[in-house]
Amino acid sequence: MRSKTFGKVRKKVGVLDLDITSLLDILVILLVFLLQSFNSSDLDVNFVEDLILPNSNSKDYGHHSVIVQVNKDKRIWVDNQEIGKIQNLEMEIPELLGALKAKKGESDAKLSPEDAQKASNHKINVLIDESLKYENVRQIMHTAAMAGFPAFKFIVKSNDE
Amino acid sequence: MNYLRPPLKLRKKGPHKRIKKIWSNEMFHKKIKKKIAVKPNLIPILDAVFIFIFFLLMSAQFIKIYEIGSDAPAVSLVDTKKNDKNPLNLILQIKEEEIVITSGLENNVVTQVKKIDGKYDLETLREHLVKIKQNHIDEESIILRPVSSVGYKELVLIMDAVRKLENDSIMVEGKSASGEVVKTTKLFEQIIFETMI
Repeated sequence: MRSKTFGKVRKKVGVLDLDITSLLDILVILLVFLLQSFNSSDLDVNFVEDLILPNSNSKDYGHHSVIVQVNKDKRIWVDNQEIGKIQNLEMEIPELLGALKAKKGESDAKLSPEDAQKASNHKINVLIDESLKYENVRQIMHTAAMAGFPAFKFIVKSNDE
Repeated sequence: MNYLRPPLKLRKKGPHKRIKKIWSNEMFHKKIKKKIAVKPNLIPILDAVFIFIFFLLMSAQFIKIYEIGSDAPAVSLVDTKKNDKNPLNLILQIKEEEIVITSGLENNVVTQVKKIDGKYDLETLREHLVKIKQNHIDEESIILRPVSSVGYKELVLIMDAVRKLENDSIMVEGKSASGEVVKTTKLFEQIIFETMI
């Protein structure tokens, strides 16, 4: 009996072999670049407009807490929400005081009564534009201290860039 | 070696010619082994690299930022232990044209560091602070008293100068209160701004 396949030529379907060497090359280079910019601190800042931080030699990593940003126009943001502007040279800034008191209330609600008493748990990250004077810095610090944040962390830019 | 008849196609027609060709068994049963290049499986490596990249992208920070800590004087971490010796009470009065270093309860002037070319002379300031640190190796706090018109940028540079030596290979050496010789690159890391509250 003749074979049914007699005379027919069967084409073997070969597996398509992708050359991924170049793709892997690109990914390794990207990986090396990202490793260089890896940040081990938990501080995540979304910079507001017109804010240039001063340069510093400090190598201390920041930690997550309330973030106050003041740009060159003296506009103030608390945790990325604009709350007002420094209007005059009064030591207390009312809008900032109100916003920080609210933030303190929220954070104290999450802490135990003993922890809420500790000053070390009431830190504030301060990002101030380098063009401002000490009088504005003093206003921010005074208002923050009155709101219950006596520990200030001035966030600065690395000199290495 | 066997003398076998060649295949039909190879047999020559015509005048008989004895084909003396030695056909051996090995020629019929010879298997030519092709060397197939073994390709490594890159898929697991690619998988790992992709996951790494996603993780690093989430945590990447392209602007490197750090912090300089400070405390309000009402809750400062200055050592309040009773001591027979007078506290150092180191104060830096940052004025528009100079920096005045004072110490002690009576604010005795230690030295004045003038501006050079419109900029604060941080090198001279650091030298004076190193000398003070050598005599008070345990002391870590310093009080800053700037005038209102001092720029924030310059203030940060002064804070850098008072906190740490620029070169990590150089160390300040001094005797602690317990009599031990202490070596450190840190100067006065606890910065306190006066008259906050």
